[in-house]
Amino acid sequence: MNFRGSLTLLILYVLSKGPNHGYQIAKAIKQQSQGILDFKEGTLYPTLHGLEGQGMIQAFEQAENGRTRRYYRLTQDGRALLEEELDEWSRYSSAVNDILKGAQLS
Amino acid sequence: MSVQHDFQRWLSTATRGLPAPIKAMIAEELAAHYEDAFAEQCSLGFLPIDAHRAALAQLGSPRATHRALCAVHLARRRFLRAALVTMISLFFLVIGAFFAFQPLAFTMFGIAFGCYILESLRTLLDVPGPKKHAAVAITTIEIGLLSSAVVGSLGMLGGYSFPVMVVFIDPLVLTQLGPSLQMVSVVHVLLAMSIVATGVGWLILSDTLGQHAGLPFRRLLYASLVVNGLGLIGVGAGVLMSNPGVIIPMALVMTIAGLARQAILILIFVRAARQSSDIPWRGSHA
Repeated sequence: MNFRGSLTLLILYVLSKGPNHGYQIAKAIKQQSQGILDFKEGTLYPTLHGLEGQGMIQAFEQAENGRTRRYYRLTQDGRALLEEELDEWSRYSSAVNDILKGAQLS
Repeated sequence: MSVQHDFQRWLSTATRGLPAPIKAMIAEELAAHYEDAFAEQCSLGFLPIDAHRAALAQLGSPRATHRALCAVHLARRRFLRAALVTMISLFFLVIGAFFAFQPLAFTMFGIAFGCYILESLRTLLDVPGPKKHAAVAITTIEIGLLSSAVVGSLGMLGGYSFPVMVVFIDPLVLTQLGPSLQMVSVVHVLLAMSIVATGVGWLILSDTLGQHAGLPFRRLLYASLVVNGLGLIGVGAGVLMSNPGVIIPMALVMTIAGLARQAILILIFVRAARQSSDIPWRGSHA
């Protein structure tokens, strides 16, 4: 399913649960959507780096199994953006649901 | 052996052209991702070679990743260069009339600068999401520009040095050349088609840019693109009719609108550069 516009929201949401690295973020999105939200993982990193550049998330390095991993955590600005995005998504999805309910009845 | 090589090739394509420190950091990050994906596939019972292939497939197209990485990491310098190139092209547009007798070099500069500006605009519009109309419009303009250069060059070889070559790049030149137009030929027809294609491209783009909330002066930009597009179509019609009485006023309108367009594009690129940042990669140690 194409959900490019929602990737930012999903990343911010996953990171609101705690710091994580790119692979775990991708896995969380795929697993929690039961594989419906499938995407090419290479494009996750430009989105992460863009959010980092905007100050929405912060990167830090952590040693893991003898190698250094790059983790990301949500910043205060990122948390505020997540609230906004969640609110917008809620309004958007409820508007679409309203229309689809009408379509099922008719 | 070869699958590892495949990943290195994927990585090389995805990170091509990025500054060395950023490239190294991204390579490390993507390699860790790839290793995790490989380990997971192995834990699911796949043979190593299949696990490598699956891990690589999960990463997707290296070109798509490369485009997206460049849009993030090279945005600032790209937009600054685009602003500079647009400024130079604006200057050339004003002084273009002085180059009336060196049309080939002038045209080539114009085409190269024009394509660079358009590609930068494509990058700028791609940042928030795919804009299909804009992509089609930009490609149409580029095709119009390039084909006019080719047709113009053929025209020169065929003895149609003026106005075939110069009319498209800087119509102000026409006012110096006077009404010494050639008879209508295949070259004129092809040139007219190229000019009209460019005009149509700008008209399509005006619609997208006029609605783009993130751009400054978008109403002015919209108006300049519409006038410029219509002016180009008018010039194309004039070339087809071989009628300087149509070409010259249309060309002047188109040029004035083109000057306004370039000036606004400079502001757009400068603003985009200020809003972008080459990611500092200042990650701290936990």
